[in-house]
Amino acid sequence: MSSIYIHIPFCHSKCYYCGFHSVASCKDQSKMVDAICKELILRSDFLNGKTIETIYFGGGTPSILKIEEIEKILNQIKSIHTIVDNPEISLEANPEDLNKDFLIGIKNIGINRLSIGIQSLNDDILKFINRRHTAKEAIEAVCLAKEIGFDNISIDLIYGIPNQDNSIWEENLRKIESLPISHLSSYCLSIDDNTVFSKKEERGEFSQMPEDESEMQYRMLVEWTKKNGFEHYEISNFCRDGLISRHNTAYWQDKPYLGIGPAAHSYNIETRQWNCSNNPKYIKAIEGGHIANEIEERDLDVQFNEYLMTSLRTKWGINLKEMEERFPKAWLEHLSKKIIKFKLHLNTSDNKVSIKEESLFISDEIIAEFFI
Amino acid sequence: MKNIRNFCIIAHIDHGKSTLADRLLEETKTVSDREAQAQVLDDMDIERERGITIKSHAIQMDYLKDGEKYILNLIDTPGHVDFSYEVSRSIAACEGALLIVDATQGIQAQTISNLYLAIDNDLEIIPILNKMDMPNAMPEEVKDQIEDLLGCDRDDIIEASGKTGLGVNQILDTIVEKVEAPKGELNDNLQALIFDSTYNSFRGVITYVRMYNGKIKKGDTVKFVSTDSEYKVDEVGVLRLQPEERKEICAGDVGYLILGIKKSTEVKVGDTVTSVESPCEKAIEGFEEVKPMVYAGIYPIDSEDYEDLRASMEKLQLNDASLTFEPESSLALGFGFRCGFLGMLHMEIVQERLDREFNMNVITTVPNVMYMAYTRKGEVFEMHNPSDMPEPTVLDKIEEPYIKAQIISQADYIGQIMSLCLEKRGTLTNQEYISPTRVELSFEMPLGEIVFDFYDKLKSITKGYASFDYYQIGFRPSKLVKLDILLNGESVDALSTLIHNDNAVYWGRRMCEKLKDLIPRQQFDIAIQGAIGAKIISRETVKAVRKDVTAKCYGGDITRKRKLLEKQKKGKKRMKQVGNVEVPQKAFLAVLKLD
Ligand SMILES: Nc1nc2c(ncn2[C@@H]2O[C@H](COP(=O)(O)OP(=O)(O)OP(=O)(O)O)[C@@H](O)[C@H]2O)c(=O)[nH]1
Ligand SMILES: C[S@@+](CC[C@H](N)C(=O)[O-])C[C@H]1O[C@@H](n2cnc3c(N)ncnc32)[C@H](O)[C@@H]1O
Ligand code: SF4
Ligand SMILES: [Mg+2]
Repeated sequence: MSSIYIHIPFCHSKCYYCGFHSVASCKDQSKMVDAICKELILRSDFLNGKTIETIYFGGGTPSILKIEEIEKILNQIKSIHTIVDNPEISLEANPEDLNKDFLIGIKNIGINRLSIGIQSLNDDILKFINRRHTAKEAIEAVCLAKEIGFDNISIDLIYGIPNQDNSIWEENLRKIESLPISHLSSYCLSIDDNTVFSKKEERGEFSQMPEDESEMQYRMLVEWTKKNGFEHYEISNFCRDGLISRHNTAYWQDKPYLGIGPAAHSYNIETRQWNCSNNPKYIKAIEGGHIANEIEERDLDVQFNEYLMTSLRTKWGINLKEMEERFPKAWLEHLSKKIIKFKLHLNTSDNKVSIKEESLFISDEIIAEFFI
Repeated sequence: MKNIRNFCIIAHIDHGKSTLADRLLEETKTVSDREAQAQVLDDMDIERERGITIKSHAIQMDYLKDGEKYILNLIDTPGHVDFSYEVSRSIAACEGALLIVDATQGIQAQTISNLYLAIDNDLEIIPILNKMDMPNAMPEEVKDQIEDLLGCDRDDIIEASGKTGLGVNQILDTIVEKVEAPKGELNDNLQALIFDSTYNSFRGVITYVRMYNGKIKKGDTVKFVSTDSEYKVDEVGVLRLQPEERKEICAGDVGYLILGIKKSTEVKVGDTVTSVESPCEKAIEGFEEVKPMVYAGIYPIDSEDYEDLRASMEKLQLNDASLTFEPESSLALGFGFRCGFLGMLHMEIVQERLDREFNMNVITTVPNVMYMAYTRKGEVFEMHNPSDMPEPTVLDKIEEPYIKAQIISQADYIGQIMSLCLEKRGTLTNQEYISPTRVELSFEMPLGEIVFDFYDKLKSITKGYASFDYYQIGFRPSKLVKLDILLNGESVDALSTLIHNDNAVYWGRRMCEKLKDLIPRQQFDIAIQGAIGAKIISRETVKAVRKDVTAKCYGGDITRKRKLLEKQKKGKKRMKQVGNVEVPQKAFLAVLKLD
């Protein structure tokens, strides 16, 4: 089983917090689609013929694309790879792009999961982070998608935004209560390099929310999801009816994936690779028949650390039996010492170890200590 | 032998010893252009990074004068007080010394103390006025000072510059003319003084010797006078930029011996090497035992590394004869060593060398001076560690070491210096103008007040103009109390300090505040308390970590996230688990930076 990720590096405008690779100009859009199709051919062997279980259009803003462009890419994938019977095919979409025609169009070509970036349901906050939609438009987009027949809808919300105090956050949560969603991703605002917020922070015009307050918002979120029938299956991800993001779960479960498009990451157990994050350079390389990327061979210690890091983010945790087969004894001894040290924060049963829900918020601290 | 000259370069810190040595090496073509770099003798990374000399460094040069070939053995020495033991041992291996004085700064405290060391050892002193190229050089004024100090002829002072090379030939000629050739008899029984040593993982211990009598070659059987242990000589040689093997080394030479010794404790700097067949009659007078100024515990971060740490310290001690240590244990930190240092810089360097050269990750505890404790039963003992302090019911009194401090400065700063010294519980004993604008002040004060940051403060209030030297003058009774620090209710012995009663409450408060800044948030709240006896005098809390799920794990970029966490983990490397609290290395030194 394996996955394909397609990165669409365009946005209508840049949000102030976002450090993901995208440019706010779509002039090379059709060239980019061609390049993506060509990269799919150039790297057709990357997954060694494994069947594809999930496809994910991420970005950037994939909903910027024309239906035909998305279809072209999907067809290209199908012509190269075998796809399972019930694939998960997701597309990240911004609310302002989700009109009726577009939704019907993507549904017809096989997109069966939508991830809609709502971020906040407060208009002042939306302005503050430079989003192009209002709260109302966001809600309407979700409802329309449901109406048109999407049964697997996820939304993104950001907490820990300065100015978005606990009462606004609570109101956000209340407002999504009635939304027809099956999945929620909610990340704490991080100040990433090369963003407007990071520049403002350097100039002293912006300061982050105090930890205690953002922790409170996380706890409110966890509380709320419990009350509303969500399962907390990864630090920042929640789902209903077992509708986990199969694609993202593959990342956390050490499954191989092929990432296509500028800045996309790929993984095939032996190596991790990432494409150059410059659109013209990427296109030029692909047109010349090669891939501009960096490759990292994975030494055993890297494998060990990454296994811990990805697995411990999820409710499934790590499997000590599996680890014994892969890694030196001494590392496992180190690990068991640390497990004892952090036992208050861990669930341990059989050979499985996972971080307790109430301790997920400090998972970085725990994982870093587990590292070899 | 009559063509050998052994000399060292001594001075106050930064007066340009190592730079002038560069010029001498260049002039004598001892160092090729390819090898040349500024302060080439400072070959340890720490020396290069910090721009100071830490170890004495011997090197042999050839020099031709009036058609005669001479061998000049130069030893560059450190100027910082903490490394004065290096200077005294180098002096013992020489017949002459270049006394360097910075023409922009004049005579400073270590100029005087190092000079006296050299005079005590009957060295021929060659005064050098260095940095003459600098626009703010004050040659006439400084020459006056040197004349007064040495009672030498004004014309004997050589004007020089390590920058331009001024005076270099004159210096070399003067060494040949004035410094005596070493005495000693080639045909006498072997007698050589070990003045330094180092550990090489392939060759074992390498000893550096000054040959007094006789000669030594590969294959000889020799012994150490103090231990009577016998060794076969694997290799002998001289110290060029790299060691160079020779067939033999003879009376008068400075060189090295490799004796196949793997156990570092077998070698003692100051010991005499002689031959087994015909031993010399008596040992050469060794070196005075070092008297540590400060003591601190050194503990492995990972308790399992204790034995490795011992082996590393023994090897380090070979190359740092001023380091002393003995095993101790701490409730908080487990097994470690109580170490004696010549000062704070020395302590810092030891810790850094353990890390760099031996890959030992250690914690250094709060340093303290040595106290004398008197019990009611009339017992007296040395306290190297605050936790040795007897219970109040048993304790009669405590004495702390006092020093005599000599401070030389521009007269303008007298006021500031006086108030600093009073604040440090000092009393002025003498005040003397050594020139109309320069004054020498003498104080008596507790050693405990000056070892930590006194010199830094002195330099900052006098804009770098004051210099300072001191010697111990015995113990005096003092009202000292033990300040304990409790983390989550558990007293951490490694954080205890003895302080003067009058300052106790203030220090207790500042210490807790400082620790609060230094101990990172952990998974639970940490209470930090200061206590004297059973009485809590201050309290702070480090709140538990709240969140650290910062970077998203999104779009499959696992590498970046891993690197972030690896960085987070690295930050923990220097932390020691004390009970259930992780205490970073720097917290133990917090007391030193309390204002
Ligand atoms: N202008 C000028 N600068 C010099 C001269 N000699 C040394 N310096 C500078 O003074 C500083 C100290 O020089 P060093 O040679 O390291 O002094 P040192 O006496 O060996 O110092 P320690 O070994 O740490 O006591 C360096 O920045 C040198 O570049 C000189 O003759 N002229
Ligand atoms: C790669 S973005 C693309 C989503 C889509 N373009 C949109 O804006 O709706 C995926 C999600 O990551 C989250 N995100 C991006 N930058 C973030 C940041 N600095 N802090 C927290 N969450 C962030 C946002 O919730 C965003 O919806
Ligand atoms: S959050 Fe979405 S729309 Fe905003 S800049 Fe990032 S990728 Fe583009
Ligand atoms: Mg030097």
